[in-house]
Amino acid sequence: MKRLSTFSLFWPLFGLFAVLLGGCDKGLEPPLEGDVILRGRVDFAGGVDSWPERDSIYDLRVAAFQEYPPESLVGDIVEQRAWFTDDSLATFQESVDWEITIPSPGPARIAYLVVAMQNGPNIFEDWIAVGVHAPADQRDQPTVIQLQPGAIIEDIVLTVDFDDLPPQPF
Amino acid sequence: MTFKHKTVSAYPTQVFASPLSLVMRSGLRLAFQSLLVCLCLMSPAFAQGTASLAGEVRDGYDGRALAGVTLRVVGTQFGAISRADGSWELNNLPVGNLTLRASLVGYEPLERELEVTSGQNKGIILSLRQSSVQTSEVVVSAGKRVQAVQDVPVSISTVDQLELQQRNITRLDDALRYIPGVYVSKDQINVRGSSGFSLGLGSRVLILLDDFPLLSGDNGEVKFDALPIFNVKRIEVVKGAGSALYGTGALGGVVNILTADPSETPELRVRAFAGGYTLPREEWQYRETAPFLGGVDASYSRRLAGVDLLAAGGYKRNEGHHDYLRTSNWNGFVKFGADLTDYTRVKGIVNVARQERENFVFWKSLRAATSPPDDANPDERIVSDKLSAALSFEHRLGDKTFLILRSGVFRTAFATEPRLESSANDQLSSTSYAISNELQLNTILNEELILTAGLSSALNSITEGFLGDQNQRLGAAYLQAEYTPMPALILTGGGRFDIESTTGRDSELQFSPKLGATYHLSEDTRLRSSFGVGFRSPTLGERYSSLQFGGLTVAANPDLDPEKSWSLELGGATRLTDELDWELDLAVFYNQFRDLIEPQFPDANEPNIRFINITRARIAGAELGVKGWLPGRFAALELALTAMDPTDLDTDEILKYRSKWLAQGRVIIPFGWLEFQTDYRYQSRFDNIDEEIIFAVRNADARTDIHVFDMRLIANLYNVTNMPLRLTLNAKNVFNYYYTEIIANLAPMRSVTLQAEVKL
Repeated sequence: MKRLSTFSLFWPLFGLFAVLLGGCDKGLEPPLEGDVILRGRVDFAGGVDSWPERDSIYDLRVAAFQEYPPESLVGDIVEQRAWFTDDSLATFQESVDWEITIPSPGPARIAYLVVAMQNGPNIFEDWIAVGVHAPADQRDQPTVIQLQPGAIIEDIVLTVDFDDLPPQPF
Repeated sequence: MTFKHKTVSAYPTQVFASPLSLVMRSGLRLAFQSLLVCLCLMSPAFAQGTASLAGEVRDGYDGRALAGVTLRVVGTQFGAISRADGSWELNNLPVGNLTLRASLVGYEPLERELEVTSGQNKGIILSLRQSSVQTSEVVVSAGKRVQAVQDVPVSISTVDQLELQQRNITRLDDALRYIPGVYVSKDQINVRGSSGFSLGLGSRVLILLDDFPLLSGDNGEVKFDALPIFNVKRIEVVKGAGSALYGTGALGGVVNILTADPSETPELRVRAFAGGYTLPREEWQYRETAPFLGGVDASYSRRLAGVDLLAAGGYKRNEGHHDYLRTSNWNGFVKFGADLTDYTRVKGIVNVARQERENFVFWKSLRAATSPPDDANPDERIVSDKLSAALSFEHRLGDKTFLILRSGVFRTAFATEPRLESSANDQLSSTSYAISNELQLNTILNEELILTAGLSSALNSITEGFLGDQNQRLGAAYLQAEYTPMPALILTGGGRFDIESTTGRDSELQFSPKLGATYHLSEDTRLRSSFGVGFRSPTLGERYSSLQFGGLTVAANPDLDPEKSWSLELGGATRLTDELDWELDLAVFYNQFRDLIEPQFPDANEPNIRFINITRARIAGAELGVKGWLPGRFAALELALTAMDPTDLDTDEILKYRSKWLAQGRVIIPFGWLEFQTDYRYQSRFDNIDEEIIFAVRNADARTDIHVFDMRLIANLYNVTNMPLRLTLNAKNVFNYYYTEIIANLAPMRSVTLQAEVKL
């Protein structure tokens, strides 16, 4: 039976190794010392058609507050009582992924996790809550998230319904 | 209509002579007849200017003669079959160039181009390579007797000795990870999602060693290090509930480990391997040098004064892929067999194993994943001893009936050292016995009906340790009938009554029926369907454990009820092409469970575990397996995919610690006396775990999809050195993927070993 020679198999195998070796050391990673990571997805009820006018959306972020109710979004972030996504979320989507890193030493809990939208030019005052991490029938009682140093908390799904906004804390 | 591999035998295992050897003997008769026919058919017309060829066929690994090899001159009617000493000859061949093809089940076909001159051409040696892509022809675990694998109505996977050797498998769990639909969560074997994470207690898959149950008497655990893997001939995994023949424990499936029979001629096998784990990523490095991994096994077998005898022993040392994981293992194994009379054969095994290991329970945190918590005792070790001994008498009552009496004991003992006097809870130790007896009858009533019946008893007993003195007794009677109303159809039906009594509880009766059908659509295609019921009586450990370890408190629950299951499967298999040996197997299955015993956290804010019966669960899914050679036979592929939907029917959530997807793949590329192999396995991330455990174990919820590649290069040096020597360079988890199989425990990282095996 005719077989391929050792030489003719060398380069395909070498190529396979070269490509795959680039994938070394994947999988679980050690978190930075004590940093907490929250990540998940925002679903927009009603899909792309439900979004408000484009010129009314200045910024859109997920924010995690140490206390509820918060004083103000920007104020709490400056005072390191709140943290939010590094960048504005993509708009006019059906759902987007998000991630927040809370540097060590962080709080023991997050009392209020919210999708916040800046709907006017004033970066300090023009923020509204459009989605909240809370039971659907008790949106005035946000879910508390317990934190441990170094924890990675995943799969947090927030829902935004622009036609049915949650209670406004700001 | 005739079918390949059709085996009608009441043989329970290998009474007097194995079915394979019987097939071989009948094959040899055929061989000689064929040889004569071939010789007779050689036309005198070729007498002028003709040639003859003669030579031997040998195993490419150890050089032993191969009988029954089919030799054919490609494109002609000339052919022959090798004799018992491997010799063969072809006469009256036309002179010139020809291609000689040699083939034998279990070996890769070999083609040799020859320039044949007039007269005799002698001394042609053909070395056949054992095929890495093969399916066992017969199985014994599906019906407690030898059956052709094509006739079995359930899904069954096998791993043979060659695969175990090539992958440098030293533990059962390492072997099972390559089987479709199976994954292992540390000490828990999971067949199609049957088991979750239960701290190793209460296996939902029954383990048998040469048909003897081998779960510990205290916790119903699998003792992976107690199995003589070096001497295993084949591992069979029956998928789905199997209590109709095997009783308690066969809730999700049965794993039967069949050891090799002693050789009639003196045979010495030695295997040694050495290597180590590579260091993990910088953040997880806890030592400066690579941890060592190595061991040696040896076995010797021969016939001595009418007794077939095999003795084996081994030692392995593993410094562990993270801190506090150093392990040493010793094991010894003896197997013997002798014909007491022309009708009675006695067989026995004795297996001893000792393990000393450090006691790593959970990591300190994901950031310090290779280290235990700060309060772990660095001097603590767990020393465990296992002894299994079994004896069977196999008596032939006429040509069609066999009677087997089996008796066996499995003793397990473990203790933490150094022994501490301060707290009973800190001193984990247990000594237990699992004793089983079985009387089995196999009889062929007529050509259509085969019966298998039996009586069995078992005693699980704890004689000392933290569980106190406890006993569990089981008795059973079973009957199975296989009816073949037409050659293409085999119907199977049967049932088993089990009665269980445990200290302080009323006796409980279980009935486990089974039904099955296999229909051969053609010689290469068959359909199968099966229904089976399973149950598992709670182990003494699940009912009476009350202890603290690893930051967790486990509370006793004597009121636990048996858990029950039923399985339904529809499947089919077909051979797609003969030339490239492509085979396809597809199964859809539906398993339902009641009263599943799972460790639960009754108080959401406290890490207190209690084993309780959760009500109902469902696991529906499908499994696809494909394997065969690529055109040109330059490479072979094996692929398997399992999709499952493990659902807790009470909460409508996915069952905890279950994966939805499993995939396994294997590529084999032979070139000359070298062979390259790579394995890939994928297991999807557990979607659901006990989140409460993060209060006891930091980052216990860290988990991910599992992608593991293994690669190996095998050198069969018989043709080069004339010694039956095989060298294997083995790299496991070659891309150093970091993952967990159970909470807060990093799975093994990349390891590289060099293995040498010689058979004399």
